[in-house]
Amino acid sequence: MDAISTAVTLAWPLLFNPTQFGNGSGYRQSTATSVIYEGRESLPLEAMELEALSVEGHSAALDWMLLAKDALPNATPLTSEERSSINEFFWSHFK
Amino acid sequence: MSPVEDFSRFATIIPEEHLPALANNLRRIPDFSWLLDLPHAEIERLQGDVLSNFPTVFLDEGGEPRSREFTVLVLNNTCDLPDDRLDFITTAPIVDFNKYLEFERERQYRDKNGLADWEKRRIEDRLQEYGRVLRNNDKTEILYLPPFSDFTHGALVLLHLVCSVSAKLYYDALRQGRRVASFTQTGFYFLLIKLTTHFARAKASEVARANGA
Repeated sequence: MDAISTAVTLAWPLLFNPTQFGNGSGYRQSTATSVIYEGRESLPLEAMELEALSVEGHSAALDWMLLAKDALPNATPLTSEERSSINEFFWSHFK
Repeated sequence: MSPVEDFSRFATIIPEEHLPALANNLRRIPDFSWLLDLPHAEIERLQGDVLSNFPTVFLDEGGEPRSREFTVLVLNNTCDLPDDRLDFITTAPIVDFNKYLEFERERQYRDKNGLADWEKRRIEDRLQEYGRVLRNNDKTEILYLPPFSDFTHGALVLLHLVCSVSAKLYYDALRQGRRVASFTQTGFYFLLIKLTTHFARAKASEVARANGA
């Protein structure tokens, strides 16, 4: 973990106050990615901290896409035949 | 080293203490029994929660609204679910995995009388393979869920068929106890992985956009 990542990770619990968003329930369920963006929107951070979060948010998003690709390496969209099939099945619920 | 073996690089986006469990569970694929649990007891509103008998609406090819109740998966971020942040809820319908495969089997045999045994075997093999691919979560538009509630053979979340519904109906569903499942912690990460794979996977290199200013 690089210095910025470490700093952001360690600083996060101090910077983020979930009660700023409604009842604050469920924040422990968020990913760090979404948490970083929320923090960037609403917290009075110093310029240095903002820059760190911005860099971190960007790389985290890319890391996340990488993880998604690694976790499902064989993922492909439905073929046209498969799309027809699942959509026909879906619409059959309305008959 | 397999792609999911080195998890240290993801420590910046997933709390470090969750990484071993996520790595272990991803290695269990196609066993997805770790995705879902009973509705979370303490937190009433979570991204990925499954609600039964929830109203949905879709426009058909003639532009006509078609409405029906489905079991649905809540797509909104948990942070957007509190009262003062929610006017509409975005949901994806869920259908029965086994019923879909049965439907597809009938569809494959439709208007095909007098098939030879080898042709029937080919259809059955194709169906089996299609079922395996769906259960592996290898189709980007479809999230396979392991058995839960009335879906005793698993279920399919149709991520290409999302719809928006007034939040009031969501509150009604919560009040009436229509939450039937929540994602586990590692299951939730997989939900995000699946959403990323569907909505934000890398484009083919031939999809070139303008560079902008």
